[in-house]
Amino acid sequence: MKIRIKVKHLVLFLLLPLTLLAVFVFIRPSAGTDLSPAQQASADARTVLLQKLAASSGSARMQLIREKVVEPANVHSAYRFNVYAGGSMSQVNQIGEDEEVSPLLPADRIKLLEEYVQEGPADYSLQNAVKQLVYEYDAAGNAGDQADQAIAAAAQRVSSKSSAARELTLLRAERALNAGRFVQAGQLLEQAEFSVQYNESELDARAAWLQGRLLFTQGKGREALTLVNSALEEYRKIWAERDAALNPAGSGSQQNASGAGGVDGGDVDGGGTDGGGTDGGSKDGGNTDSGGSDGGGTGSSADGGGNNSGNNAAEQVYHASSSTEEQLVALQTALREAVKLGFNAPATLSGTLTKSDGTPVARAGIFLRAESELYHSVQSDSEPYQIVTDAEGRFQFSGVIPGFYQIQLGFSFEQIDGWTWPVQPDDWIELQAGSSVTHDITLQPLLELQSPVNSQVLTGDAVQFKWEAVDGAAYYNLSTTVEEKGSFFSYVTRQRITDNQVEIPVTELYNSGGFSTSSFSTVEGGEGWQSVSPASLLGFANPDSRFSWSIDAYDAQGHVITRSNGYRLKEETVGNLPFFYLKSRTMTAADKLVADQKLEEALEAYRNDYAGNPQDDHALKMLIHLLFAKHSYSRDAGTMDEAMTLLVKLVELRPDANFAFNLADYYLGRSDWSSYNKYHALYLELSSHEPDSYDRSQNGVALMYQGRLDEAREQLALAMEADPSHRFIGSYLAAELAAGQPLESVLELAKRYPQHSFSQGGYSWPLLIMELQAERAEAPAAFDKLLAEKLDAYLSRQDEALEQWAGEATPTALKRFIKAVLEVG
Amino acid sequence: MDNGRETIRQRLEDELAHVTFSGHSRVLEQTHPPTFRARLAALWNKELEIPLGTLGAAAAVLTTGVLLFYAPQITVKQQQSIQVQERRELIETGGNTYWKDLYEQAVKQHEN
Repeated sequence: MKIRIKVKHLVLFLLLPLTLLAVFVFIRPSAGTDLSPAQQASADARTVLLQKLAASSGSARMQLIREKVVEPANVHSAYRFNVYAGGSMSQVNQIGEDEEVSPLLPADRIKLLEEYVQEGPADYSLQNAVKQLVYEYDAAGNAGDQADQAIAAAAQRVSSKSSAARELTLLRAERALNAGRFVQAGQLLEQAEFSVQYNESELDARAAWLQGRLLFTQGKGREALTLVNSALEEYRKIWAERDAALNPAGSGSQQNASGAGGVDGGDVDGGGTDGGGTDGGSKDGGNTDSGGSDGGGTGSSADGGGNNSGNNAAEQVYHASSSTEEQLVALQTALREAVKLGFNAPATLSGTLTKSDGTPVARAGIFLRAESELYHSVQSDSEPYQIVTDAEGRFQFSGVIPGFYQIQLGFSFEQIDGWTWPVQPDDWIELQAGSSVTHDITLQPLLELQSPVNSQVLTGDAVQFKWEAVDGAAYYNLSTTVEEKGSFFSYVTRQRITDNQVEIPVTELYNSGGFSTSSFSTVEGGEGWQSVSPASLLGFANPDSRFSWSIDAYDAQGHVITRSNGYRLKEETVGNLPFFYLKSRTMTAADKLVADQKLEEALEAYRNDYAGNPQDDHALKMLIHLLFAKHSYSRDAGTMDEAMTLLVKLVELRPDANFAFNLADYYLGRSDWSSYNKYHALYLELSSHEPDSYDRSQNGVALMYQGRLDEAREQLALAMEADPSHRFIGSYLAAELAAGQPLESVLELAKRYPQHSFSQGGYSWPLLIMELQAERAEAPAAFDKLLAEKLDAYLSRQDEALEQWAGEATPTALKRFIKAVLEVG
Repeated sequence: MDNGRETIRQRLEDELAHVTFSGHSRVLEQTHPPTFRARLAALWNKELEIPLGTLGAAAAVLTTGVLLFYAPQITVKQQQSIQVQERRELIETGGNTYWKDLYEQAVKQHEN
């Protein structure tokens, strides 16, 4: 059988459809690249969900909105982000396996949530829906204060004296406070003053927290502190009672906490005399032996123990039972400091978050975090100052208690991918009483490395590093990293490189980081000092290791512009991998022993190598390195002395700034001034850059100990200007006092150069000096004599005697000051 | 004279008696070439006769080819969408944070 068909019919009915089909199949996927499979799936899910919603009505529809929109989003706080970035920390949050990511767009959510708030059943889901709606409004710009209206409307729907009504009114008050509408906040707080059946203690505590903040905005810091103290005490009492009722045996973290609360209550009256956080030491140790030290805190309340308050405050945070308690404790800490320093008006901070190309970053989280709260990660349910950026990337905080703050940002992976926020650990924002600060944040594209990259294998005597030039960069710092089994050893290999390329001799890489004389990273296997990580010892001398490198670009003022390290999550942003291999040398038998973690044998092997060839600088360097590692465990003085004797020889064979620095540091510790001065001078000579703030500080301290006070003060003054962390401010203040400067001018310096560290806030030195002033006022002559005597002892390095004196009998301001000075560095 | 011519004509006719002229169309094509349009129309309206067996065989070959060509892509596509739905793991190395799958792919590309 045959088919007869005209060509035109063949084309029309067969070839044309086939061609169209082929075109569709081939073109479609490439045209669709703007939608990844995941996005496509999400878009499909959205369509399905919206259709389902459209098909339902009445209570079934409300039920559906509740199940599909309100409840899934309620699993976590709205202020939960994939990445939290900040100067002192960064944190990644992966979305959990069981979590549903809503396919809905913000506009869909607003519409559905609005509907639910108006028509949904007036139960707990309604409150959640309101909170989510408010977040969406904020992210969209909250035009005409829709958010406040939505909360007010929802509050109308619940019964007027219910805890839901009170909670919603408190939410309105909080938002009014944050927006700087203090009068409205006050009215709402009044409205929220009624007794409720459920959750009363939580709501009382929350109301007190808001009232305390509001009182502060009215210049009533002292009243605010009293209110917060008693609210905290009350809250803890209720919890302790509940705890006792539930658990009669009484494990009692709450009981302890409430006891400690009593101590805090006493602090208000103590006024300016207590030491705040100055006694330090409360970094994080408190966590392990909590029960015992809490008990101690309670006991010490009898003797007025102002000195303990810093410790107690820190520990109470660890034991806080709920976010409400955490908030109250944080407010208490902030108010206490504000009262001591006489701050009497709130501050405002606003800004815009954009990318360097001008695109606003919308829906990013902005967390304004007080210095005393930075030790823990962002806790979105108790952060006092958090907001989401609107469509233009804007944010604003009002009614902020003055003090030192850092901003942390919350991003989605998409927002931060390929970009970096060039923030540094010492980027502090000081919000002064009554100030209005604008703080814009600009994200920068990650810098691209050019060579060596992508696991390139290098041989030869030098490594040629090259990277993308950055506009406006005054210099670059190059860091190298040795990676071993998940441990990283990073060194700043070269600083202040002015070009976008540099040639670094392999020997300089082998010397990277100099020697660590104190802490060594360990790996599994091997005992004692033999567990020290081979990678930390061999570094770049191991041709089998994979190395990576990175670049930070700085402007002329020393601020980071951008960096090569960051989030690289798409094929386009992955870019060049920063890895390379350095196979310029082969390992010696002794090196292999190190790699095999046979350190004791390696030590002997290097000793033999060096004895056989006194020019073998590698063996000598490794020998010293191993001796340091051994000493870090044995603390045997003989080992250290041997290492140092050898180091003197090494610096002759291989003159390297790192080695000279190690020697200077060693002789500084021993007050061997002629050797110190010799190696400090050598260090400056070998160093490729101008002395940095740390070099100057250390030398300033050394000069001070040598009695060369004027030179010391000059070096320390230069260091303070250059070092944003003001790490050596205590030494500088001591040097100024020793030179006979009055307390007033020393106080000015303490204020000008705030030191920020885990245990000490930026106001701790000014507070110490203010206490000295108060103490001096009582008996000036006796105080001056004692101060001169103790400073003399400090300059002549009678540290032990001073520590003993500072620790015994009644604590005084001078004892606290001397103790703090001894802890500098 | 006339007789002579007649004879020659007769002879020519006799000699050409078995020759027939069949080149009309070719001559016409050369003297009056058909327009492009006419040729296209002719082609367009040309009738093809396709044996059903051949057509069936061709269709079978084509279908098999298409299936073989696209089958791997179809399965890969399904796998991909599953992979996307599964959790991706982040990895921090060389100072950067990558998705582990992308990172491993990049390393593989450079180290082989």
